[in-house]
Amino acid sequence: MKVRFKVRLKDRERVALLAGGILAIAIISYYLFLWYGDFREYTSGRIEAKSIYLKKQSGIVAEKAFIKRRLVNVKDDLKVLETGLLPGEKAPLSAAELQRLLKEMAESLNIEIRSEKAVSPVDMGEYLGVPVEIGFNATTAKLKNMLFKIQESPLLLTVSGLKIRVGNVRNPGGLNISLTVRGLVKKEAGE
Amino acid sequence: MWRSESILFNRKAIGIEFRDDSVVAVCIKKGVAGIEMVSSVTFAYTGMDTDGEAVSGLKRFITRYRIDEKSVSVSIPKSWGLVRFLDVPAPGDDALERLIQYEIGRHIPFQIEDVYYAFQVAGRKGNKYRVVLVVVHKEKLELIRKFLEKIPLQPDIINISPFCILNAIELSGYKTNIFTELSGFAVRPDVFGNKDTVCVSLFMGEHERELAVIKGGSLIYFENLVIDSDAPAENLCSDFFNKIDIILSRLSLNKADRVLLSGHGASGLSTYAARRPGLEVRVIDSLPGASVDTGNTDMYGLFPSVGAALAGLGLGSIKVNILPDKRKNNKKTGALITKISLALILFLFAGLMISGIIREKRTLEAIEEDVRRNGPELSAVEKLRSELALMEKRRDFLLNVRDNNISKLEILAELTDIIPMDAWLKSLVFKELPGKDDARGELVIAGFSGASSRLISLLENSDFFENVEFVGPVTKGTQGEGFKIRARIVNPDSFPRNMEQ
Repeated sequence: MKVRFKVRLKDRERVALLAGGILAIAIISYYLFLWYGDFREYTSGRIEAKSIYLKKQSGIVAEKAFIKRRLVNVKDDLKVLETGLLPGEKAPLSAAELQRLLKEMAESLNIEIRSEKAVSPVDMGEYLGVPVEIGFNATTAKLKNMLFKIQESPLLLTVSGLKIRVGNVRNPGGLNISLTVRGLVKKEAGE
Repeated sequence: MWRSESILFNRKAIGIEFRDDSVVAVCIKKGVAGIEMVSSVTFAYTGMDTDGEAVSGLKRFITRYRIDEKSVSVSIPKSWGLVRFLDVPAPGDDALERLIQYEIGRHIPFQIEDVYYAFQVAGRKGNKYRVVLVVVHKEKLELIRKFLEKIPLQPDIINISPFCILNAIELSGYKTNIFTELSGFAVRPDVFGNKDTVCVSLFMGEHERELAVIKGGSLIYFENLVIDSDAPAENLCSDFFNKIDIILSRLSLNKADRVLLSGHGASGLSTYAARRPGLEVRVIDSLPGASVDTGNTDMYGLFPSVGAALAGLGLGSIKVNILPDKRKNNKKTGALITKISLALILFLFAGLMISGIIREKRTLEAIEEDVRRNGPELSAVEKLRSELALMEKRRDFLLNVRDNNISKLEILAELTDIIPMDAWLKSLVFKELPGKDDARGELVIAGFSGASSRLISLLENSDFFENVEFVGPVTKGTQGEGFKIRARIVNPDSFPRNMEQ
């Protein structure tokens, strides 16, 4: 005697179930690998970027000794150069000092200064330019000597303006001269 | 595709029930979709050498359904053996078998050498084990062996029919899917309830009424009931529950939580059983893998053979195997190895991915730590660099003032050199050009000359002047041509000079 039983699931349903299961696993695996790949790529990218940054940073840090040496040298140079700045705590004081200096130079050359005027300071970046204008009558030779003295001064003096007029065309030796000389002062001191 | 799927996931098992007068064979298939009954056959059997028809019939059955299995699971009648529930005090699992052998000597009327036995631990309280013991005379089993050898088949599991029926009842609620099949971690059916559920099963076969008490999925009591089957269902139900109450009180249990009714008349009995308060009544009216077939009155007769076949697939909670050499189930070890291997593969796979992630994260952290450590040093260097830049700017400015300043003396000397003897100046104005380089300026000269136009070219040819032009009309006078000329002053040596120069 034989008893037949009904099949709970048909073959077609079993195949569909299996195919669905495999597909689901494949999709999950695909997304898992995708995520994993993205994560690895992101991390590798970050590692690369950070490594480059670290290399650059290490290079900069390694330059520290060199920068220090260079800074010492530049400071030494600057110290020497700044001896050419005008003395004085404030710009008017420095201007007065420059006037006095020019007067001394003129006196040493027997030049009589007719007029003298402190012009407004000029902003020159890290420094202030302190100009002083003087007027005098002199011969060409005396003017030459005056300019030479200004040029050879240990201070950093610049002739920023020069006006020469011949007073008497019949006697060209006598010149009316207006000379603007500019000295330099540290900005923080001048302000 | 179906064929390959079958090879990969499908397993077939044969369950054979030996009765006193017949033999029933069932083939079931377990796949990713669950359990499926393939077919069943019944032949007359007397246990004599003249059972050629049963042998040839079974051979045909196996050939027709292409069953490759050579080992089968066997169900034998309860009357062929003895079932005892014992409380055995034992210090541990190792000593349990020796103590059970001793108990067998006390409880059965045979020599231990003449019997095969099997036991299953149903529970444990301290050192006291609750054990269900099945003992069968060797002679009976040798008959079965000889019969199966003719087919030829090997018995793999032999269990008594009531226990096979319980397995079939339990697995009527068996469900699976591809994931549990692939992983091997199948979920136990809920038919017998959870670990605290007291479940009573009554199976009503054609001749027997078998009552079993299961607690926490373990069989703790079993009895063949003698009930008048011709009595009305109400009386039958009353007798049945009276019996249950007696048994439960003997087992020190308060009440039954669930009653499973299966077999002939189960539906009628369930109507009255359901009236009892606080009791869950379930009717098991189908076999695992087979849909309800109301026209088939012999369906309940297949429960033992189906239960045996399911045990062959490693399913079912009542794992009693009377065969001595098969008592330690190798299939269990194999399944365990498979599970461990699968878990290991998954673990290695996950480990491979995770280790990669961890390695990269550590590398990143190490780099970030280095970057962080360099931070203060870097800011110090940056500070030094900006200070250096400022100092260099100041120095370069002062150097520029010192070295690139055009000497006015040189300008005057150049004018003296290039202006011809027939020309003389009456005025000279030099001024810096605002917003321009400090070294550059503008020169305006006025005077008289014999040929003032010549002055333009003379001045233009000088290294000091450029863009030379008249800024007023040239006038004729007694002293010559009156002129006014403007020129821009350039530094003839304008390349930058440093301190060393």
